[in-house]
Amino acid sequence: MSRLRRVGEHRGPAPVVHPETEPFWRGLGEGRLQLQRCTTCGTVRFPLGPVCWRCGGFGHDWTDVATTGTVSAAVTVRRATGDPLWAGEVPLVSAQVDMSDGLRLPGRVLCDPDAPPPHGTPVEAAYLATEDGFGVLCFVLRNGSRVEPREGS
Amino acid sequence: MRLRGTDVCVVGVGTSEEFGFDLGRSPMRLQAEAFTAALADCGLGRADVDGVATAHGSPTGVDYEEFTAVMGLDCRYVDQAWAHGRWSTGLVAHASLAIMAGLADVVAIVNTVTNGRGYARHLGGLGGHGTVEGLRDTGGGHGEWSVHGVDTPGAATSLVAQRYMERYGASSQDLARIGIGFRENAQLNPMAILRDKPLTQESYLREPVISGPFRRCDYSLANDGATCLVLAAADRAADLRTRPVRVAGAQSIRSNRDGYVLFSRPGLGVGFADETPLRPEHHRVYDMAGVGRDDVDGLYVYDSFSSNVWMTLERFGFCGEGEAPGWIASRGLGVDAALPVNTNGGLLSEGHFGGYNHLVEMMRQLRGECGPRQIEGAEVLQWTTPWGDSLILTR
Repeated sequence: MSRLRRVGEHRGPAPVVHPETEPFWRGLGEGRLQLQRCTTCGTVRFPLGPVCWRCGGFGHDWTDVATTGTVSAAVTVRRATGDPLWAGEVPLVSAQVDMSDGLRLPGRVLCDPDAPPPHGTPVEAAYLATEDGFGVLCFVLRNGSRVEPREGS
Repeated sequence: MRLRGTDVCVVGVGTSEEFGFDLGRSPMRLQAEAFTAALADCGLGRADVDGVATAHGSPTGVDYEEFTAVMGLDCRYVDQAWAHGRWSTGLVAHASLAIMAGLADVVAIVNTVTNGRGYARHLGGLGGHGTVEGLRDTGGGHGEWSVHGVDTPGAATSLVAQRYMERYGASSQDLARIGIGFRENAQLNPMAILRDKPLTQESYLREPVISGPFRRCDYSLANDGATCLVLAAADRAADLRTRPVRVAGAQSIRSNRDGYVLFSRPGLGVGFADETPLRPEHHRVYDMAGVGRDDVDGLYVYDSFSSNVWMTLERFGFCGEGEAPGWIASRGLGVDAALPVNTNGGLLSEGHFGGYNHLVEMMRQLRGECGPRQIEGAEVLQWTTPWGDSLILTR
């Protein structure tokens, strides 16, 4: 699987990284998108968790997953009404992305906030670096993806 | 434990004297007003109440033990849920079961909300429902992902609405009809906070966009106020001066991977839920109540965000997949509609009191006390949420 590009620094709230989930965030900080794969049934899972939701197995390893996908839904967040850390970052585009291997993953899309990508827009995973050496998943439009401004977005 | 074969009734309801953005009264004061009003409504006294249940208000309400201490109650049954508006069905169902099991005779379900621009600004240690939960490994309590900038329930739900609108071709005009419909209902409700703020398609489009397709009036209100519902067994209810209303049926939130706490519905494919055609569900609440969906005279929906109404109408089968916007456009939501929805104005226009305000309204409708917004001949009213939980109250 291809390495993710570092496309900037993460300025929102820091991810909560604890020993069981550290490989995910560490991997992102090194440009790798890896998730837990159940050693019993092989299911790759998201969100992160200590147990396989499909078979109940506790064993897992970390495996690289697909880094390309298409937008399922993207929104432009214009007002940061929650965490004040986002106040300087809005407007921003955030999305859920259907990855080519079937997982659906969340992340910002670094693009024009007046043109959030519609459903089906091809995107590629990238990462934003945190101060602690971890990474936060995000997406960029894939080569050739052009998005028209969305009315009322 | 063995359950007594008794019906459970709502025997009294009350609210704080007012609902508003900044009433200048503490959560305890507001809750005491609602509790006192509900007891006066049914003619019971404080000594009759031996059970208290609350979902600690979000962000700032009253814990059960503070309340019993301050109100001078002596309770043998208490229940307290998480600071979210999602426990209304659960609190009523559990209080009913507690009465049936003999754990209590009279249970007061008391709930208070105060907001950061209201009385909560005077109080420390706000809970809030944004950032802390948003940083759970599984995402926030409403599917939000704080680390990705979707750090409020509203931003998360705007993703739900965005997916729905793209998948089924719904428009901003369709979304507007929800807020407009409930605002019109609110004009007939003297308690509704936005009763004097008319909303039209034109003024809706002038509202600022906050996230995705959501404008300000797609969001429920952040406000101050309290509600109280008093429950008792049917035999006890028969001795009281008011006409009781039966808790006829209940079903819980359905919780699984496809029903994560987002304000989505199964099959829409938001969060980590599968995207599939809408699969019909069997809703046992109707079986328990002994009624059918067509018997429902009025529907009450947990409308923390406007698009919740689409999710709920489709999930409960009032219309088919993707048909909710057309259903609303052709039928309307008002008291004269074939199926009135949120006659109180909902969380969008009466105020966000966790849905307990909808239950208060249902009780008053079934007692025929609602004046110009009265649903004529109301006998069967249903409470529903996008999470699949429901209550049916009958006269």
